[in-house]
Amino acid sequence: MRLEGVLTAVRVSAARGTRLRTKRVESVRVLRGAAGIMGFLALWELGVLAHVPILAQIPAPLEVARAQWQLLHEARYYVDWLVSLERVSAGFLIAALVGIPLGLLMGWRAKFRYLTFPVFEILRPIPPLAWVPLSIVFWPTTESSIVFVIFLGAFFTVVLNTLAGVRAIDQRYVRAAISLGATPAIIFRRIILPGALPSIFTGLTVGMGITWSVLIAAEIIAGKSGLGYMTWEAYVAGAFPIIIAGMFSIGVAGYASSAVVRLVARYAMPWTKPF
Amino acid sequence: MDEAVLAQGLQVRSIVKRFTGGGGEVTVVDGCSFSVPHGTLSVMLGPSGCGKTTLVNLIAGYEVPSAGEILLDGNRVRGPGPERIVVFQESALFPWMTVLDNVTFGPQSRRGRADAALRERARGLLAGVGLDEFAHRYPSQLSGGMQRRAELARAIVNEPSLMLLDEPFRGLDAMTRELMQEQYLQLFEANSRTTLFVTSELREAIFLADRLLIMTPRPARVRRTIDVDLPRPRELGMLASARFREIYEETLLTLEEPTWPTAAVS
Repeated sequence: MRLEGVLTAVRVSAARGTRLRTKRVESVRVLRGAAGIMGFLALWELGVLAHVPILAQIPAPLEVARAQWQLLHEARYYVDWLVSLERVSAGFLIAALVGIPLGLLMGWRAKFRYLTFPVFEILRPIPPLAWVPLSIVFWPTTESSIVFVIFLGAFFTVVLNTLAGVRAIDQRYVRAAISLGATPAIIFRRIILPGALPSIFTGLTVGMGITWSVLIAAEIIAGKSGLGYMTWEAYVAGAFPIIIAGMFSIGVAGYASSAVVRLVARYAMPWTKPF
Repeated sequence: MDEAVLAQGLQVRSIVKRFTGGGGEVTVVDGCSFSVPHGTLSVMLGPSGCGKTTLVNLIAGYEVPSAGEILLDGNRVRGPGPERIVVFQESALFPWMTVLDNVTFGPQSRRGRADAALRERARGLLAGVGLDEFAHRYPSQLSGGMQRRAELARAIVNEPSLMLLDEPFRGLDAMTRELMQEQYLQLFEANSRTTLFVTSELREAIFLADRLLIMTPRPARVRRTIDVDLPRPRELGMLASARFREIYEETLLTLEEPTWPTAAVS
């Protein structure tokens, strides 16, 4: 007992040490990341100044920064952000709301899986953009067809990861729960759902990335607004710095939305947090 | 002893278990019979791969015997149930629940609600195994030995009529293992639950057991029963006693006796 106590104390203090070390490692990592971005920008600027063949056609970072600054003073830029965010959020949320329950059910009930999986696997390889013509015909408004295509982008990944997450749950947890007297409803809620959660969040993170790439393409094809449309419009108008500023905005938007998913994951799964 | 008392505890009667695999039929358990009297601890001892875990799964109700019957306190076993709790070799604590939620999971699942009294009782049990400070930690934040103790608390909180422990201390380092054995015995001696404990470690078996069930190699059957009359409460010091050594040698001789193929082998 005493020995265990000592071991425990050692473990706890080791954990504390790890936490401090983690903090230091993190700040070093942030500094490295910042240095990497600065280096990238410097190479780009130098490349443009030195008239390196392809780079010479591209606006220099400073020029892009000026264009970005100008955009920040235009109300339309914010509207484009808002419109794109709305479309992504709508498509992504619907994909999660439909995809997670469907994946859980497919993973949990073999008969349902045998019934639905072949249909699912035939539809899955179709690129979301191949749906654009049909969805424009099918849906009453352009807006709803764009949201639908975004939904498809995330949907298959979410379902597949949820399904895999359920299937990967160790049977000993299910056995233990049955043994302890849990009903199927309790097993579903307290074992299957939390057990699949890490995989579900992997699906959501990957799905979120796909929604942005689909969104931009959908906006170029069918949109009248949004960050993708803005970038395309700048190309048509020959405003090269704006193109890059638009690309940069999309990058930031994608990064931020993935960060939100990761943050939600951390709160939803406190047991995976390093201590 | 009258009939009612005899019917208490676990009775395994002529159990046969065959599995049909790719290459045909395999008999893993063949006519195995034994009993664990109410409130006592029997240790099943045998070489690994002899079918001990299959017997545990049969008694737990995860598997259905091909022939024979299993009775617990006079009732025939049909499927898993909270009156027979298994503690496995690998931790089966739910990683996504705190230690306290793990312990209250069983009673809460059956009653539908975790009331204050249940939480109180769970905390008391955790204190009993030295984990009161860790009630709100997750299993991954505990050492192997602590996980085993949390698992014992999770089993005992259900007040099962039978505890099945399948090599629960395997994989722990030697020192932790001895501590666990001692702690486990305190827990057993305080509660006296009917217990079947499976191990392949001889010293552990004798130290814990009221009765040893020495198994044949596969197909599993009880080759010999040895009663361990070491007094309770026991402590690790008894491992050096003369009586312990006698039982140890006797058991070892039985284990080393050659086994002859039986007619049942196909």
